Amino acid sequence: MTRVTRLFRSAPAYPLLLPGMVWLAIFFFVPMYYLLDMSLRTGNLLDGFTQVYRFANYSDAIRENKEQFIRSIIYAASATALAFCISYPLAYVIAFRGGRYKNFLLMLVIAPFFTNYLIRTLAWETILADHGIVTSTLRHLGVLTATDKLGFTSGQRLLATPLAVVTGITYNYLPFMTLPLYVSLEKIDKRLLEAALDLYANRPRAFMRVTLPLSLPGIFAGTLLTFIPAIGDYINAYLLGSTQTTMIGNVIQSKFLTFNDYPSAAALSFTLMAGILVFVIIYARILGTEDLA
Amino acid sequence: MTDEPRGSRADVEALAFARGALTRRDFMRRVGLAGGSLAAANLLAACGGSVGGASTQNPGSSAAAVKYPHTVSPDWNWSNWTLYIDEKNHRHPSIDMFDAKYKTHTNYIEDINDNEEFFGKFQATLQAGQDIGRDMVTLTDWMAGKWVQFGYVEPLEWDILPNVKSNLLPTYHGRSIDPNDEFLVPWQSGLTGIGYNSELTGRDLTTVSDLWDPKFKGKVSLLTEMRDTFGLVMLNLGIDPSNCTTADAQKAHDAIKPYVDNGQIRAFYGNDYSNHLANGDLTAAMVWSGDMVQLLPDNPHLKFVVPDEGCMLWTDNMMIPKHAKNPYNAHLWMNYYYQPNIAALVEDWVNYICPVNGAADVLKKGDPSIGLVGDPKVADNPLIFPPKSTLDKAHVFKSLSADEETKFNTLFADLTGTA
Repeated sequence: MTRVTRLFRSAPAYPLLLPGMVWLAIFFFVPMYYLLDMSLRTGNLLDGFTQVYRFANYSDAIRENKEQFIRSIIYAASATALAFCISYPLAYVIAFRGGRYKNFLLMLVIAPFFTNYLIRTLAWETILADHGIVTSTLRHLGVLTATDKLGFTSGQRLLATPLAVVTGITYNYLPFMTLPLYVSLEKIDKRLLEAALDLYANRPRAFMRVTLPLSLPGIFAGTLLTFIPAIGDYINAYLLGSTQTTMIGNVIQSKFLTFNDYPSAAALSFTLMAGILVFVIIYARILGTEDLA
Repeated sequence: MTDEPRGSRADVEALAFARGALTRRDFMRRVGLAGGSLAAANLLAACGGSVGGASTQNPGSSAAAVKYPHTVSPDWNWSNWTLYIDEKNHRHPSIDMFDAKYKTHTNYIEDINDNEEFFGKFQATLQAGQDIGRDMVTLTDWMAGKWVQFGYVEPLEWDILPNVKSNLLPTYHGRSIDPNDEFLVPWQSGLTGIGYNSELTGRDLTTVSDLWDPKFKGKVSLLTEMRDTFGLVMLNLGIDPSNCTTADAQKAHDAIKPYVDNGQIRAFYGNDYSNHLANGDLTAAMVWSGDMVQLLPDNPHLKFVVPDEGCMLWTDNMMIPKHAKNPYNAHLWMNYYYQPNIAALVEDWVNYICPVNGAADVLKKGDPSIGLVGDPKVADNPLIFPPKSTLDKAHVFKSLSADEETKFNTLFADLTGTA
């Protein structure tokens, strides 16, 4: 193939990219620029915010909110791990054993999304209520005594504890984990499994050697789609948590709306984004991005 | 400051909404909670270039008699919170009568869902010295005070407000956010006090100190509104919140902190405490009277009490934004609303606290001339028409300077875990 034809072949791609690029430019890069610009200013709403390139906004923001940053990472990681443990078997069963119920089962996974996010979280408030059936049962079984000891809950209750927040996040982002896992599992050529079973492996070994590696793109996408929104989430911490469970999203919200301290809020947002970006790059290096679903 | 119904949330809200009982802001506020876009809008507005130094206006400086041209405009715009005026067959009778009387058209806009959000939307325009397209807005005390402080409000022409002059309850005169009554006219109010589940407490609560009873550990909540929580605690410490300092805020903080640390306080809630209080997750809480109007009839074991040491009073205020095109219409409305029968008509539907003297009497008997049927149940409800003894104990939080506000908020954020 000559260079000219190659160029010709790739040319039509650019106009197709245009809508996406314009969208990104207007709704991502421009706000990003303002956010970055704001994060280096000082001042207040009354006198205005002046640009002084104060990089200390960042160090201040991180130092003052280390606790919430760490908590966000722990909660988001726990929720992601929990969602993975629930989703993988679920996606596996739907993909390999779903048969004619496949679509129906998938619909059930997505069904909660038909309800507003906020309403779903508020429903958890009722489900986990102190006198509700879930909490009473766990209390009578002594589970809460154990979780109290571990620091996951306190005072023999679920609401307003870390466990409630992590549970809420897990629930809300579960489909983001399940769907990519399903897609990658569904794509697997069943003959590869049959070959493995015929030639050298028992079922667990075939799973470890064939299914799991082939589902890696799904694991990669699923964990990111869960972890990234989870780390910035603040609704769950707000509605299901207490003063001891606030996440970085709650701080950013409060800085913006209560304090009108836009520079700190912007610095926190940027730090969070940068942190996530670094994490994604490292994660992609480890898990490999060559063949992403 | 909001209101919220009881019981299992989604369907109760739907029901309440259907029969018009669900009060305005709660639902919107929650929806707003999910709206990260708001923050971005604020940021963009702030970055829009015109965030220059504001000319801070001294509230006492423009006391000279103000005079506007006395011509009625064919239409005018009023921004208010949702579900915050009488409603009948999808119309607002009070507004219809006003329009007929003055041959005008009131463009009633229910676009205030949150004080901060509304402020964020118009701050840049106000700062640039331009008309925001509203002739009257209705904002809560502290935000109204901020507008006054920033010089975003047109002064009132008292000569054309005789009804307000004679019927505004004395409690509302000379509030610290508008010491000379130059800018603000109250629309509706609410009290902040203590709500508790008498079955769970087994005794009557009478003071904020009762919230610290170790028996209620993990079953007590305070309010996310800094002024309400600090205000009640300051009163408990013998400090007057209408005249407090940063040192006083520090004292209030120090009084609350140990109970946050030891888990006595379960959480800081907005209106969400209603559900928790109704279902027994909370034993006692700082609450808003408007919520309790909704909760009490269905939950006989719940009680609302004004603490012995006093309670907080918050008010949504009618005010005329700077450079409004039709200030005369706004004045006409204020004066019209301060007729006891019109106030009664609105109150019968809204159920907050009415600042208009004489409205309760009209509401008890009814007024056939405006189609108002007597409603003694509302008229005798002490949460809607509080007795003088309650109002005497009610305090308004002072208007904070920008510096104070930051310090107060920082202290408060340390308690709520968002510092």
